Amino acid sequence: MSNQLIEVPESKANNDLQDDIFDGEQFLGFVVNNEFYGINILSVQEIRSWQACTQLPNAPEYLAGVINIRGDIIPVIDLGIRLGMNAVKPNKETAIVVLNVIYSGTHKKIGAIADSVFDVFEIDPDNIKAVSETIGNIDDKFVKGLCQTQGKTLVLLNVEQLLDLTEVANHYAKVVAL
Amino acid sequence: MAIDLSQFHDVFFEESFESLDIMEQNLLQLPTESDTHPVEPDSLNSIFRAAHSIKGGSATFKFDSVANFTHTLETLLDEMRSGRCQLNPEITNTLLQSVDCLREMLTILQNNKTPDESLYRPLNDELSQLLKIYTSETGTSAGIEPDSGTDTGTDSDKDIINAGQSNREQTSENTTSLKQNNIQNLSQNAQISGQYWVITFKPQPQILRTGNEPLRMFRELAELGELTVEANTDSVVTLNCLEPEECLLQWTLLLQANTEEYMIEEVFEWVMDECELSIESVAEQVFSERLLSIVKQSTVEPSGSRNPLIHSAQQLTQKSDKAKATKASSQNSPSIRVNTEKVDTLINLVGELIITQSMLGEIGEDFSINKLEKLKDGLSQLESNTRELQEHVLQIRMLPISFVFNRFPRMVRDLSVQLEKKVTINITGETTELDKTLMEQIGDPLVHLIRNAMDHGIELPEQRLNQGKPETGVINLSAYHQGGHIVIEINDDGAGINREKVKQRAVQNGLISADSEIPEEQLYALIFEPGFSTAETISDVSGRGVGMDVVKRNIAALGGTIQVSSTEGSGSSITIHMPLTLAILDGQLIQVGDQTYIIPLTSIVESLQLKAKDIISVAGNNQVFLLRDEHVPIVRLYQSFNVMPKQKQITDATIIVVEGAGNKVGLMVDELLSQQQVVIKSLESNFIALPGLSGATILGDGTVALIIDVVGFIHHYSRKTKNRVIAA
Repeated sequence: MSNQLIEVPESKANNDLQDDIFDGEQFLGFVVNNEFYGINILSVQEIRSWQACTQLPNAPEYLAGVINIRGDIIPVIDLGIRLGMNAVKPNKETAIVVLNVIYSGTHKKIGAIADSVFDVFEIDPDNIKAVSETIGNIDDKFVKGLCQTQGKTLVLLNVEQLLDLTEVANHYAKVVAL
Repeated sequence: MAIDLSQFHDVFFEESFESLDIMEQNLLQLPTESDTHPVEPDSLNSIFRAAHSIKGGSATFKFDSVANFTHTLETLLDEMRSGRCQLNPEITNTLLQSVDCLREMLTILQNNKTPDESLYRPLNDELSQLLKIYTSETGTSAGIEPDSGTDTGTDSDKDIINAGQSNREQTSENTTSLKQNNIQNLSQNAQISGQYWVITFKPQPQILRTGNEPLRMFRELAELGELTVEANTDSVVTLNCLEPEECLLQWTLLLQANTEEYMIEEVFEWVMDECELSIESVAEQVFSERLLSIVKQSTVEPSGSRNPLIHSAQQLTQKSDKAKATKASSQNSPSIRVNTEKVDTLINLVGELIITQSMLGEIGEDFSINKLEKLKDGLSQLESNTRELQEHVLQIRMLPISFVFNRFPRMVRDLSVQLEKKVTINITGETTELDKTLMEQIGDPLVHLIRNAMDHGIELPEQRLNQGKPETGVINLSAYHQGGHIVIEINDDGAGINREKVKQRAVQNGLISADSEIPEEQLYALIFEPGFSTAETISDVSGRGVGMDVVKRNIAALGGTIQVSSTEGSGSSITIHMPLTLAILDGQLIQVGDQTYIIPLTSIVESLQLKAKDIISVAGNNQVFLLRDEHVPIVRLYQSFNVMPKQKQITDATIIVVEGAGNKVGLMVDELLSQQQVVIKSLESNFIALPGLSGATILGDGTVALIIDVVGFIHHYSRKTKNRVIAA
């Protein structure tokens, strides 16, 4: 018994050490427009219930605005629009997933609005399939891979691509130069 | 007991740079060739003390190059202090160069690199040369004077700390360069070599105060050969009359080493004047007898001083490796020195805050409606507590502007030589306090302005005499507080700005037309245009016309303004207004649709409501209105920011007239809300900076409100509206 107890955390620790993201990682599953998505749990800092965002003037449509998290101002994207669907309609289940993303060496926090968050999955790398062609309206740069788990098909997302700061900067350069 | 010395590096560097500043300031006060007022002993003493503490510190941290260089410097200074060496401009110049050199060396060391010998070697030689020239006349040899009782200020405190640290720190061998330096002096002594040495070392009680640590010297000796140390504790007093800063121990050291007397003497070099020292070469038999007696004693008295010493000596090598390893990881984080008074005030305020909190806690624990009054009282107390706390926390970031001003006397001195002009600088209000971040950014613009004043403003000496002005030009630099701003003024009594020249150049550059009459104020504003310079020749100092526009941009970026006034022939004056801090601003909350924005109060001229007859339509859809004979364009904020407003009609909305970079704009908003102080948060920490916004803040209800950067907004959006209109 005691051996088993020790073994579990050890194997977990090993997984954490591995660079390869597809090696038995844990993913946070959430729903956007009735579809299932997953984000590597190591990027997730916290999950908050929905709160109104302060709009950013002339922002790209997918950028819902900024919110205050304990004194930090963080940008929030609407995953619905970002993934090529309708904007998320806030209700009791709506969540803002706060992600820790590294942009050119610096840690930044961003928020992502999802319809709801449902579970954490441990996914075997063998179960993850690469996507060969664009699925639906989703830009394939957002997609890391697909996987079947607990009878659901999960689209695993590339966290770094969700908010591209250069893209935003270019957007503003266009708006202001108009 | 592994003490990681690298944790003190930051403090050392900070203190050393401060010491260098002190040296520089005092060197600049030394008489120049023209005036003959006697040397202030105070300033020489300050220079000496500063050099001494750098020496002490650098030796502790084993920055030998710095230690050796400062040692040479200090020797020369000491000769000057004792009056054996007369002060002259040559020496002052060399000393100033040495200060620069030291600063460079320390900067290199701070970056964990080793300064190249070529950096300091020539200056070191020059110093030694000077020392030889100016001291040989009186025939005294170069040596360190005992530090007199006057030398016990803060300086000696540091030394004691250093000595304490050094206790646990390993001393490596003396560097070769120090040896080379001293061989000259020491070679005069008879060179005795031998194998067995008996050294008696009786330091004066105050030896520790000068930053000398006997243990370090013994370790150095131990490197020469096998060392046995016997401490003579006869003069140690009882604990109750013990003065911890005094060294009451005396030592007999038995050294078995194949060495020469000067090598041993060298170890004691820095303390030579503070101790009784005898070095004897003895026969083997005498030596072993002495040795035996010590060993016997120490077996009888196991608490003898020998064992711990040997023990500690063994640990040393291991430690140094460890210290090196951690050194690399220590990072340079900027730090501020804060007056303890300020910290004490903070502690008191936090104390009050805790009292208020516990009071509120008590009320909350069992609340009934009849306690409402009490609750209100408590809350208002809490508010005043937090406000006070906020004010004082901001105070911590405030530093006297002398941090920036202090570099100017030196700059003026160097430049006046370069430009062959005679200039003095008067500084007033250097204790005026300013936020640290602003301080860092105001330095360069000020340097530009002062260089400009010297190059373009102040005339050559003959020219000045011809005009009936004193030969020496004067630049006045002053700082003072006015309202929530700091004002910095730079006046010179030079030629002033040549209006015709400025106009001519402006016409040449196509900024104005040849026949236009423009008011003085606007004409002077032209000198801040990029590429604008009226200097006929381009010099190293200025004239390329890049300076002034950068100055203006930098100051504008800090939320400041710059104004010029000038009288031809009698000088010009530049006034800079800057906010005291960047961290907090007084803001006007405004509402457009469901969004709240903040406009800095300092940018708001006034707010008003327009009647239909006030609005003038220009070029179709563009509206302006007359504000005291000035046409002010109306910018619809909802349009610029693309939000749904409550009011689309100008007459229903409120117009806020804002001014930025000399342009006035009437911002159309739904309504004005309250005014409040807001803490500025950067958007960049998790996102990117956005055009027209200087950041965001968090309102009382926890939501985020964006702060409008008026200058940027006008730049980005008022142009945009115009273009839009044209397009439509």
